[in-house]
Amino acid sequence: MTGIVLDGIGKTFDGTRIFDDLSLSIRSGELIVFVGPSGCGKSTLLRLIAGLETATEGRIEIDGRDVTQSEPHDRGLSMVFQSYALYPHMTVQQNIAFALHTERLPRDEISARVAEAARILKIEPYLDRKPKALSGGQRQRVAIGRAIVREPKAFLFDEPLSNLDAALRADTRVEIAELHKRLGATMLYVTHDQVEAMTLADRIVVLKAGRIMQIGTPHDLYTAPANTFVAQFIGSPRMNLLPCEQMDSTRIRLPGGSIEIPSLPCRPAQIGIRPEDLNLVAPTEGRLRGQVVLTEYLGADRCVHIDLGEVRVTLRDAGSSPKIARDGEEVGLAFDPRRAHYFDAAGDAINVISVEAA
Amino acid sequence: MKRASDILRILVFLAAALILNFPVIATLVTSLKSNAEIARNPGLWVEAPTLGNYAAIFDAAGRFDVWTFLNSSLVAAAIGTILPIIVCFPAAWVMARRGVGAAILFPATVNLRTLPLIVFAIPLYIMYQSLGLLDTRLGLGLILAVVNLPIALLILVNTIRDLPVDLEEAARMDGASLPTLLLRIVLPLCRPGLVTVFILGFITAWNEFLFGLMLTTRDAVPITVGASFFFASGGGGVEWGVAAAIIVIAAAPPVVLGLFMYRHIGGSMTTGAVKG
Repeated sequence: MTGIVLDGIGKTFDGTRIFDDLSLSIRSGELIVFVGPSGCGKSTLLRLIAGLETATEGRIEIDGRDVTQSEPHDRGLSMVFQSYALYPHMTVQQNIAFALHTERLPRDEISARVAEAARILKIEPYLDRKPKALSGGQRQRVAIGRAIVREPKAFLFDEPLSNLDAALRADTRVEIAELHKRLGATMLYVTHDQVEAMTLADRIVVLKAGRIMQIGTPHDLYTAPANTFVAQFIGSPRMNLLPCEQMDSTRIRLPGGSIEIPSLPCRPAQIGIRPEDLNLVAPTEGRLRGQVVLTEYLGADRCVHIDLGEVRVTLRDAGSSPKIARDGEEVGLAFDPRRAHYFDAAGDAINVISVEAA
Repeated sequence: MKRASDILRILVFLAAALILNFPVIATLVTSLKSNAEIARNPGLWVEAPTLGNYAAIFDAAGRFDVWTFLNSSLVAAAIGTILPIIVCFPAAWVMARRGVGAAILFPATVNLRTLPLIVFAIPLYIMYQSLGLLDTRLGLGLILAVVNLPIALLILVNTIRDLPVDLEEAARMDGASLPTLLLRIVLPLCRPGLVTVFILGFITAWNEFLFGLMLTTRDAVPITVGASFFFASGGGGVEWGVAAAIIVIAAAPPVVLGLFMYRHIGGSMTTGAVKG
């Protein structure tokens, strides 16, 4: 159970600056998810913590000990690779036991620990098989088994689910969450999938081009995104962003209509509205007017895509909604301005506490 | 109709196989003929098969002891094959993974193979003379190792480059020291490359003639050079039957090795290591 502290991390790779003065503190027992689009540096960050890459500047501390220059195995961490990286010439048993052999543990302790890991992950029937005789899901379990058997200070997961099919991915996600509860261990998890991030994380670190855009609980990120990047990255379908223009002291013009906000702290340049915060109303009633382009029926939900002149928005409501939205139909859109998100020209959130509905 | 085309196809295959393997077949057949029959019957059919030529070879003693030739070839070829693997494996890993020597040393070493071997002859002879390596199996093995080194390095560097780096990173996370990493993880995964190097190297070393001729005289004469002694062993003209038989004996070990090891060449060790 370990806290991990990154202090002023810089990393240059072949002359390219990847991180600049990145600082982050991870609490003991926390499951923290690094999420971001590909190339944002999330895997590199994990590899820096693992010791597979060396930071150009800054300090990494694990449990209060400076490990910036330590070898990977001296950091007491386990890693689950995206590719699983199982040793193909060894049986499952030997794969899991390998790290314990390098630690020169007594034989009976090794077999006891391997048996315990196999029991937790339900891979006992495959212990004598080679990795090539296993399915993708089974290989994934062996890779996790290899990580837990070392009883590490923290677990590092590098996109562990991305090679599994959709159904297995959802199941394994739940298993990893259960494993985290059961072991109470610190876990660092890298993914590009915001659903994985939202469902697993105690806290999420959103990265973009090597910079931390926001750190917070899934709830924080969803309800109070710090900028338009986080606003659009978290949540599916993504948040609608509407350019806006101040008409007078209380009115804001939006594509397809306008809203009245009596006390605006400063001038927003964009308004963000989650698809589920938009309501379908008669064309004359709503704050905004537009034309239905397409409806996607998803069973429990449906997504209605609506053209508001130059921008297109997505609305999500219940699949069983009695309101019919035919393609090409003129509709009105209602929303509560208190649930909307306001951003300045740079894309940073404006504190919305003082914004009240007209 | 189908049968006729099948028969035709088999005939064509047979003809092609016969033409391509004619030298081998002719040698094999000649080795089973008596001298009288060789003079009388140049065809591929043996009228009275005999092992007399083989018996003559194994009966010969002293300077013509075929067991000494075979033994020398085996020892020298083993040294010339295994030594480059021992030397090149760690070097190949460092070149492939750390990039050390990848820019100059690697291409320079591989290019050694393009030099005609005769270039080494005179300096090598003088060096061996002063080191006492002339006419020793070790001396012959060492130069065969130099002959095999470039191809061994080339194959092993490429084999290691093709291994997923993840496996080595996983081993580092698992606390493997560098020797453990190389011996327990990388070496077993390189098996297809190692087998290829071993077979190609052994065949090259076994069939080598130039250095065998130049550097050995009596104690360490390899079978390739020893075989040539038999051509004139009758004193007068060439004894074709004995010559054919010694060629068969000399060629057999690498052929047998190739047949048994062939299925180990190529193929991937890393199936199941990464991805689903």
